[in-house]
Amino acid sequence: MTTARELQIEEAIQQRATEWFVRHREGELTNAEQREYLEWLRASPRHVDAYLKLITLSASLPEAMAGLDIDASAIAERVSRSHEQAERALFLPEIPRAREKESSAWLLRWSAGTAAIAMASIAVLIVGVFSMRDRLTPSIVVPPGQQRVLTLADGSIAHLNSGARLIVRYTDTRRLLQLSEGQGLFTVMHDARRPFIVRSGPLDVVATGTKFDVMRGTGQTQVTVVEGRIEIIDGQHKTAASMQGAAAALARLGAGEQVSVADQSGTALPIRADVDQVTAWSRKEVRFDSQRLDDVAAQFSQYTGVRIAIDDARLRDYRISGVLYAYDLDSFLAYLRQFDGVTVERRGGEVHVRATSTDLTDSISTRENATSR
Amino acid sequence: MANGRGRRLFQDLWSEHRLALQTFFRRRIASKRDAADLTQEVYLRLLRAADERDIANPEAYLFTVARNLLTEHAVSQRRQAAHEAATFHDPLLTEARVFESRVEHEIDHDAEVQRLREAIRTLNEPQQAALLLAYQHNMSYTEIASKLNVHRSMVGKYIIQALNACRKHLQREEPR
Repeated sequence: MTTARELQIEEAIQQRATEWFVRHREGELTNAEQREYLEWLRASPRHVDAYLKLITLSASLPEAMAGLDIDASAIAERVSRSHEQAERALFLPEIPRAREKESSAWLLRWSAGTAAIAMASIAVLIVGVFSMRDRLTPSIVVPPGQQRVLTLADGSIAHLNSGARLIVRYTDTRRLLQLSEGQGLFTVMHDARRPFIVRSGPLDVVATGTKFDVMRGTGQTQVTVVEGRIEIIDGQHKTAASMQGAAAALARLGAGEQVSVADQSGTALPIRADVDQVTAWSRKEVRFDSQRLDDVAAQFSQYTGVRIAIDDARLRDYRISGVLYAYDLDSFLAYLRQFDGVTVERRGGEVHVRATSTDLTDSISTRENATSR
Repeated sequence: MANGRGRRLFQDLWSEHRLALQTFFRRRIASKRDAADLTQEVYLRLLRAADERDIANPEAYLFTVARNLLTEHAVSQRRQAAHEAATFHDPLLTEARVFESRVEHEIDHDAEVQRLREAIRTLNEPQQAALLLAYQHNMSYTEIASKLNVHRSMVGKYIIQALNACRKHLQREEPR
């Protein structure tokens, strides 16, 4: 038993080392990250050892690759074409296709699935709990200082920035989202039969499966494509035929391209955009690595303005690991609900998390802070 | 851009320290005890670093500490070898010992490279592409992102997965 746990701890250390190693290669660390990294190194000689091992491994990589008959460019080309599925496989839990009435049922099924992942003490969880019971929904308004992540009936994701106003209208022939104010980042599930349309003023941004940012400004719309391709058409003057026709498009954008279209002029030339910068607002990821539940809850309270009270001391000290969107309170609550013996109650601006069963003690005592020795 | 600067810094570091660190770790294989001692020493020096605010780039600092230790270790080894040679008066014996341990390193290293190759073959395509572009074609994460048509943050995720998979593959076949 001790050996198994020891291996588990070693594995957690190695994974953390890998994350730091890659983080260093992604760009300069912030001061806070540098401090955190140094603290991590100083926490244990095993951390230093894990990091050095990784350096050796990566130093041997070019030599190993030299003897491989793998054509990186050909693979890159294939990946580039299929990136949407690849990314989804990484990020999203399996979402059964579009049966709107069942949205709460799939959440439950999905939760059962993630329970297993959570026990392995890693949870990658990006999901908005948004039930679309009707085809016609009232408009969603995001209060100032907050963000919303909506998982739509087909599994597409609308991540809305503070101040956004959106109406979702899904039919059998199209997926229409009306963005009347603000900014949204849309990750579209591929469905060639039902185009995904974001309507901003007179413009329709049309996609089948891609990821793009739409910002509705005063009298104009800015569209930035993160992945895939989209078309922008003049939604007011289109006919059913021209909607499919290539000639009707005002602009066609690929990944990394941006266009600003004034409502009046209706024409624009795509320019290269700093996609990272345009979508920076959406990347408020909170990563926690074996952190106390109480501390994680405090972070979510801070971002969302909703007080989260954990009424049980054992729960407060419970350590969890994972990645969540900071503004997505619902996903955090869904994450908590999946644990046996935990109830989550939401009353207005407050959330109460309680332990209802003694079973919890077992699951807590069998888990352990992986970074401590 | 901040990013570009970070990358340049890393490349300088890498070209400067790479050989030293590789040797450092090959030595680890030969003498696990020494290696453990050295790691412990790196750790202690990190602890002793007077003020963490002085450490502008902790990873660079780690490299430097490791490299310095390697140099010191090499010097002390040489001294010891000289001492032994003086005691035993048998240069042939020393030669033989050095040769043996070098052969041993090389066999170990070749086996590791071979296992790494296997590991790379088992990766899925996005992981494989990201890793190859990074380590065979020396592309930056930003370049890889545009080549694979994914968001830049995905490249890091692919590489983390790829490195973890390689590491696990090596561990699996390594007798513990």
